[in-house]
Amino acid sequence: MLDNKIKSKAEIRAEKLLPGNQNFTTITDDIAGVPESKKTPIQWWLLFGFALSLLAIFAGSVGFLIWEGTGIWGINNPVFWGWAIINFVWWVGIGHAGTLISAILHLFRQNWRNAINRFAETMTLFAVICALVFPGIHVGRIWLAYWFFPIPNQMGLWPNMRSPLIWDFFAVFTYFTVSLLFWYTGLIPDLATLRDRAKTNLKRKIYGFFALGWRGGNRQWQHYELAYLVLAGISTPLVLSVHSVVSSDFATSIIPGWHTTIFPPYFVAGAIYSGFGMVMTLSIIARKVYNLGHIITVEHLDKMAQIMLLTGCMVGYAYSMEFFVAWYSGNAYESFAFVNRALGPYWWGYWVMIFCNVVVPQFFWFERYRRHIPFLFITSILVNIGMWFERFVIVVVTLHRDFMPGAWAMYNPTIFDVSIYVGTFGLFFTGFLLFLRFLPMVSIAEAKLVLPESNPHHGHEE
Amino acid sequence: MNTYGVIARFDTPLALVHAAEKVKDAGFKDFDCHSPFPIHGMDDAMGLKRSKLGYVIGAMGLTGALFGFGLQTWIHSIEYPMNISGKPFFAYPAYAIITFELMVLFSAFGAVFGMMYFNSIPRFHHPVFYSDKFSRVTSDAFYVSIEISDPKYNEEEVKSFLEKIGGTDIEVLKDEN
Amino acid sequence: MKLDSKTYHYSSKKSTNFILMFAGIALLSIAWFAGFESKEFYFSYLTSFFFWLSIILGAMFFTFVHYAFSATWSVAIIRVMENTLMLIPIFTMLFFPIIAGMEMLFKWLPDHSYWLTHSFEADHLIQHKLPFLNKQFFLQRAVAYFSLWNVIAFYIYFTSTKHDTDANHNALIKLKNFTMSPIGVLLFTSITFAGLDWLMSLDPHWYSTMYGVYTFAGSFLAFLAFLTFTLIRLKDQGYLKDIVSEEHFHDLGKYLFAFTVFYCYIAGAQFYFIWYTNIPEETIWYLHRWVGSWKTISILLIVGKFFIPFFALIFRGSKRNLRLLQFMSIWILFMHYIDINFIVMPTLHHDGFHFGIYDIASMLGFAAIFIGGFRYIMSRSPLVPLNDPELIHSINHRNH
Repeated sequence: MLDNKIKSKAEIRAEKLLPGNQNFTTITDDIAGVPESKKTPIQWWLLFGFALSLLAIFAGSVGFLIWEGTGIWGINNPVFWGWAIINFVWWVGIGHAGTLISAILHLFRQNWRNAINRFAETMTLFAVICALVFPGIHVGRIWLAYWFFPIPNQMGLWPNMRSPLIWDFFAVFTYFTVSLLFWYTGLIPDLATLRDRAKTNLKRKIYGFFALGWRGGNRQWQHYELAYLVLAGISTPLVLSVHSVVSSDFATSIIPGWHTTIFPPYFVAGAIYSGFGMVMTLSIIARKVYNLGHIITVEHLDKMAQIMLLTGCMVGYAYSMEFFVAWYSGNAYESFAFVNRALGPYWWGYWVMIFCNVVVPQFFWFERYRRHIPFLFITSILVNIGMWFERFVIVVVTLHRDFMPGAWAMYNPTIFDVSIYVGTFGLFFTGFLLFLRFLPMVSIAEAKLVLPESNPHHGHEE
Repeated sequence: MNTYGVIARFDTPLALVHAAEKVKDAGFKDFDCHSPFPIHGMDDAMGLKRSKLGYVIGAMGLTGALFGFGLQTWIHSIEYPMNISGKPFFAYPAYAIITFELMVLFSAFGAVFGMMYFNSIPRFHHPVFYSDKFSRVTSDAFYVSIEISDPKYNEEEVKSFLEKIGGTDIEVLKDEN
Repeated sequence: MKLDSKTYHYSSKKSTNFILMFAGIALLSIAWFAGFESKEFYFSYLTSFFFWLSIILGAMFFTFVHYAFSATWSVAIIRVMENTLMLIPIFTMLFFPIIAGMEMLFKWLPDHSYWLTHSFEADHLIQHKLPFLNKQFFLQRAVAYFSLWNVIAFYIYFTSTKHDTDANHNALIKLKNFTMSPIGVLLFTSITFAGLDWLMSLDPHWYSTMYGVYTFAGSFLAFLAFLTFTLIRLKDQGYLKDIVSEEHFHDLGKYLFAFTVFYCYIAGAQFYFIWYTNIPEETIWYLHRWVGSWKTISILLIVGKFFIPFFALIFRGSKRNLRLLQFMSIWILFMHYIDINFIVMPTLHHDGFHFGIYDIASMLGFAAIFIGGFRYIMSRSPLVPLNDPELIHSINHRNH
């Protein structure tokens, strides 16, 4: 009865996730081979050049912003929160998928994450850096950005610890620090691998320095595994808290359309959704450029598409509930805010958001679309366009028609709004490409855990 | 020229787990099993107690939470009370978020630096690095090392013991000078 | 590995179970008869009804997650969840007293006693909501929810039990296709609107976009506690030996812990933004729950529904301690009852918490029906899905 001849799920999973005849040696060679190789693919140089030119645009625009002040942006009465906050929320949101993949899927013992978690964590780091740029530069007098910190001014007055903007600072700062620690902890055994395989003395010294003298003893693994598990455990509520805190920037106000109780889980779902879109985009590019189709397989892309379907349905649910309750509440201002989103002068923003975030993921009910790589690639970009528009709808469309109809106005972004936003892609991709070149993009130690022979109890269960 | 211990290579994770059990049963204390990835059930095989790291993390988390809550209470109730949105000075629900964030931040520090403390890293020089072949342990090799500090250590006996339990490439760790 | 069939065949006397169910129905009938004209009865009945129903809805959600994501570890305990689902037909019947007492419960009906002294037409908020909150549409929605839940319960239960006898693995594929489909979206929507209809509309002026998630989070936590309690009870009686191990309880403990935190996050966020913004039409809901002895209940919920389970379950050891888990699961269920009471009752008792004869009668009545029915359903099929190829892996599964 119980001695079924069917293959165990572990075996099937391993076959799907690591196809071909692979063993510990080939995994190390494949993954470590990328940073070790002397030849850099031509595509890498092309992308890197492109990223660097965007970075130059970024540096120039930010320099001019600091010189001239935030007047160069399109913000004006009544829209005083423009692209800076949109981009901030967008980039933080993208970061969330990285933590989700590393932490939550680790807790749920979803081994398939092992192929993409390093990738996703790195994406988190650079996305959070891009996000942190915006609160940093939006203060205008950037040399006073330390006012974010809980330090009293010359009058002995402290920052208001009950303000959501200070919560934001604490949340994003904690998030960045914990993500960095989590990323680095995961990297230690792999750095040791690179150290032990290094051909030149300099490389050996550099990798060796960061590997901290790791020697893979079980007395080390024991503490290491617990630390990693706890980091995953605390990152999970952290990632929920970060976007909840970001949502509180809006929801603690009394602006119709902003003040609504569903905001925290809705923002978290949206963040994960956009983040998975970005992981999808990046991993499709990376597996193409580096021929890693056998490590980041279609199976992984399928799983990610399933999560995008789930979170896409969640944001769809939140949009519907907001709309329904705006009517149900009987509050005229609340209803107006939502009707204005859908049918007002910015109707196109709302319908881009609905199309990209609610309609597009519905294709993922079908396995055919979840495994169609060009379709996935286009979808993953659409998702991020949709999520950018979601924040645009929340920020700009809500504000441009506020309580006083005499002050209603349209929001006109300037070239500097655009150039700084585009420039952050330069920052993001420069960092990411350097990571791809010099560090193992898949966790070498964890990728091996997908092989059945890594489990000593394998084949001895019955 | 000093000797520091003996290492022996095993072929598979399973072989390493069995070796660990035998080394433990033979009464060795200062030994370790090296592998490219953590192996399930190895802690039991080596007879290791559960890591104490959890307590460190818990203590750090509690400290962070108390610090966060205390800081906000102190600032807004004692140091510089200010009326904000008509709420009491001690508006404790508003303190939940920073309390939580600092709890997480401190726990993360506890986890990473506690792990480094328990693992005695950074430590850039260790006798096992004297072996050239040992460098494959971070890729695809599985090693048992028995250190000279072990009370039962006797070079010849240890070597033959490791050979008997299936170890290959047995090496004595020696420094170069 | 061979399992002793005694450990997975639940035996209970059919007559005992039917007497139990009958006694429950009798008790509820007597209470209904006595309190036919009394608001007290209908509010108590609604509280108990929703308490037990939420356990079934939580089970439905967990079953969906299990099959949609082909979870391995929960295979050994899935049948207990599926058994819970099969109580939905009884609960469909038990909804009728609520329909009969609608005028007593819901202020948005023009027949509610409040409108004897006030003008229904002058309440413009309720007038605005009439297209949604009217008797006909309310009943149509209730029919829709119960139809959906019955279809889900019957489909999952009978597909899964059929697999026990014919060992045709297509059943698992069918279940995966069934759960990994828009039916899951419908299920969540139905839970949302059931919460809106039966709980939130008790106070027809008040609204919260979080309410559906709030209902879900409470239901799921309640079901986890019920599941843990049931499994420990079964083990104590000698069932599921060698099948459900400490490892499963460790996982359940993790779930209990995680969803205690999740519930706190959802309920807390709902409170937080209303408290922070301080808009009168929203704060009124919490203000009603901060007067008289309701204040004690509110504090009890914060301490009892969050802090106590949080600190009790945070340690690894406590998740593997069956006696502690058993106590915590009863405690969480108890707090869930207090929670539903806290949601429903302040509409009736503005001055403070009351616990009367109708509360006791409906709670005991529902408990008798639920337990009798559940024991009967459990005895009808093996306690584990015998032919599921993953069962062996679920049994052998180990934690970190």
